[in-house]
Amino acid sequence: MKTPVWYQKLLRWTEGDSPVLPEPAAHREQTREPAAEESAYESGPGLLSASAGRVRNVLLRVITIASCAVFLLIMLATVAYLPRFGDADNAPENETSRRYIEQGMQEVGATNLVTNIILVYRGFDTYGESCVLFLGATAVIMLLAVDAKNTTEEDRRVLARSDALDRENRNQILGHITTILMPVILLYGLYILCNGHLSPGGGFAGGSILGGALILCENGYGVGKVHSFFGHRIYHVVKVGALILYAVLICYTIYVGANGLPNVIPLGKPGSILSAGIILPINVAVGLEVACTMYAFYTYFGRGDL
Amino acid sequence: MRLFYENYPFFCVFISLLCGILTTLIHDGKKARALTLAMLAVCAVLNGVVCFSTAARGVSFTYSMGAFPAPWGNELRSGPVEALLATVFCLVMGFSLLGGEADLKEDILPEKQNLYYIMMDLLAASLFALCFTNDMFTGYVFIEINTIAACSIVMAKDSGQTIVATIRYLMMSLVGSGVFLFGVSMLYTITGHLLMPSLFPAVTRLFRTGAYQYPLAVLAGMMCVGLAVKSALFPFHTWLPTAHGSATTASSAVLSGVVLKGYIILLIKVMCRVFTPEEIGSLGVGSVLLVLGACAMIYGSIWAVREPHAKRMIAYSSVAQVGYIYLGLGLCTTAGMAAAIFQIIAHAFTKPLLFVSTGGLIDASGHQKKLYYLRGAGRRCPMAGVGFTVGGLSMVGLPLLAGFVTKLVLGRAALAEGIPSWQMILSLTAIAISSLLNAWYYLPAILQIWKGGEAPAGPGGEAYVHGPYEACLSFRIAVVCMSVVVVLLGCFAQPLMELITRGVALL
Repeated sequence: MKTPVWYQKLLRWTEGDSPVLPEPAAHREQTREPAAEESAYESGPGLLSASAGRVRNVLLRVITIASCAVFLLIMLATVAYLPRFGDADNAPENETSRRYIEQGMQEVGATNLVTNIILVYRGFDTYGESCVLFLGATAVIMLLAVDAKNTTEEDRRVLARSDALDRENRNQILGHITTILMPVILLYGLYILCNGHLSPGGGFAGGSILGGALILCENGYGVGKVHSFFGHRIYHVVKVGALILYAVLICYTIYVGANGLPNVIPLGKPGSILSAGIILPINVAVGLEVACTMYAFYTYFGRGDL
Repeated sequence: MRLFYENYPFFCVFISLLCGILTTLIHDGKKARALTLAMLAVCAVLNGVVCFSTAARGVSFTYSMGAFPAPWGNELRSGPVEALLATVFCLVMGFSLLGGEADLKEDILPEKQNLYYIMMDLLAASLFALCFTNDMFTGYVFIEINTIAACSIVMAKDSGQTIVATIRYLMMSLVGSGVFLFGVSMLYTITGHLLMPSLFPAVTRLFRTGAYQYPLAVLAGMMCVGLAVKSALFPFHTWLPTAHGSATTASSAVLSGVVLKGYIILLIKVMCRVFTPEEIGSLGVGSVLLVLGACAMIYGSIWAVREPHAKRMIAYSSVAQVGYIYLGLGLCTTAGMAAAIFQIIAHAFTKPLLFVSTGGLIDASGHQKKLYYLRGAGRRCPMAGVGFTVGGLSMVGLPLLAGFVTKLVLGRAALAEGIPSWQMILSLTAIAISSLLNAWYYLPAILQIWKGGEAPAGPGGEAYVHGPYEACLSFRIAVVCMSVVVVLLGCFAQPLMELITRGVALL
């Protein structure tokens, strides 16, 4: 008597030679290249034929447009139900914002109420945001920093040649204008940084001006100029130092505040430059962090190195 | 005066953030690794203390982050469940890093190893913050950190495949964050709060008065969908198999064991502390989650059956297992929540165990990744084989293992009074079919790795396997510990379930 097929299959299955695990295609056709096999994983089992692929693409496009349209309609319909922007009796006009506005200056010490909120009242959130910047820069370094995997000898030669060309044919006009503008930009950036608790601005705004200054310097004076005073070591020390300073200040404030201990950092007189407790040093730290991150983004995207 | 242990959640978040920042200055991968492991051990102990103290007193506490109490300042909050989950996350991350050591050395260049550990440290910080947050916006900030760090650990291997996987993962993740942020801002517009304890009465009032019914339904849906995209609920799971299947072993283990769960915890908080589960159910969001969870359980398993690539098969199995969690949440009852949380813990140990031991099996088979070439790998590396067997059987649902308890408590939650019969039938059918399908792909795989005889020849026809494979010590420690935990979870589920049930009531 002939054993049924399913029984043979079951036997094979219990021996681990199951129909679930077919012999890979690459094993049968030994001529196939490993690269082709790798890409076969990408599109999943069963590669589509060309016409089926076209139909699938059209279908995907239709589905995408349709779902975007539905989402758009839902959002528009929802907006119609929301309260009008800026009405006096809207829900966000509650005790939370009242205290920020009425008591913020006395409690925290900065005349810039927004700074009070982001750096002290909700300081933990803002510390998280600075960590996002740090994390972004680290991720970019991880991906783009020149290493053996993402750069060939040829790439390095091309880069070195373009650097040499750049040095020979430096843009004189840009260089001179940079020389004139640089002190003004730096001064303006520092002003915004250090006056964050008194006027609009602060670490994020001032830091991006300083970062812009570094990028201008790199462009105006040619590759390698910024690197001569802002190399890897200094970059890391400034970045880490700023974040650690920020962390220590915010940790101290949180720990003292949560446990009801006296806070020894004086608030000073609102309106003077040395006031508002931890806000001034935090603004400086955030500014340095932002400047470093901006400059790192620029150089790593451009050359894969500082 | 505040009890001292109430500082520990805050300490954990900042210890891990500071370790990440300091690791920038450590250029030696080994030292960075030691620092990360030490940090995880310290945080596990601290969170464990919080868990036991709060469970013993039967309380939860809030911790104002600064001198200004919420709603003006930020706030953390912890009860037994939050601290328990944070402890589990520390342990799982530690075991995954230990178990994936050999692959990490091979996949990541020495000069970039410290960057990988920075990502791990910040990932830990964001997970703690997601566990302990009491504020929607703090939750959002740490979702951002979590997203970037999670994408980076996929990218770390730096092969063409991982870059494609990272791009896909990043895009989907950002859509998820964006949709969640829309939901949060709408919630703020109609209630004026971001803090969960203030949101709760405001939302209850809106439900009672019937004002803003439509925006409320939309924003609840958007928050759920945003978090569902990030935790790979069907049909938003398309990024998961490539991302988890192609990354280095430790990353795969951490991503599927821990990262997916962080978002689900925030979702549980939204469901319990902003809305009530009943309100979510009455908006219809619960039923949608339930149906999608059931689809995920079946669909993920079907794709796992069809998958010849070992790590991708396990990744598809994650899609199915996330479906179990959403099934529990979709029931919108306390028992369903407790079952979902148990599944979070069970899967957090089982899936990394599977990924780590598969990594070992692949290493023992000349780095061939298809199941076909893993024949007999369990004999070449018995420790990895045992780990894979325990993990696989737990997923199938063998009694005395963690996976069985999940199915049991989920089934019990579905059979409870007050669950509509269509939900009950759907849940039980999904559990039954999914268990069958799990058996269909895990049992052959287990038989395959223990099979004797000649090892198969490589793709080029060459014999690539050279005798038994010596796994390193940290790999063995990780596999033994995770296997033991999976067995313990299966044998002593009762006290844990009690702890979770009491904790859910305190949420």
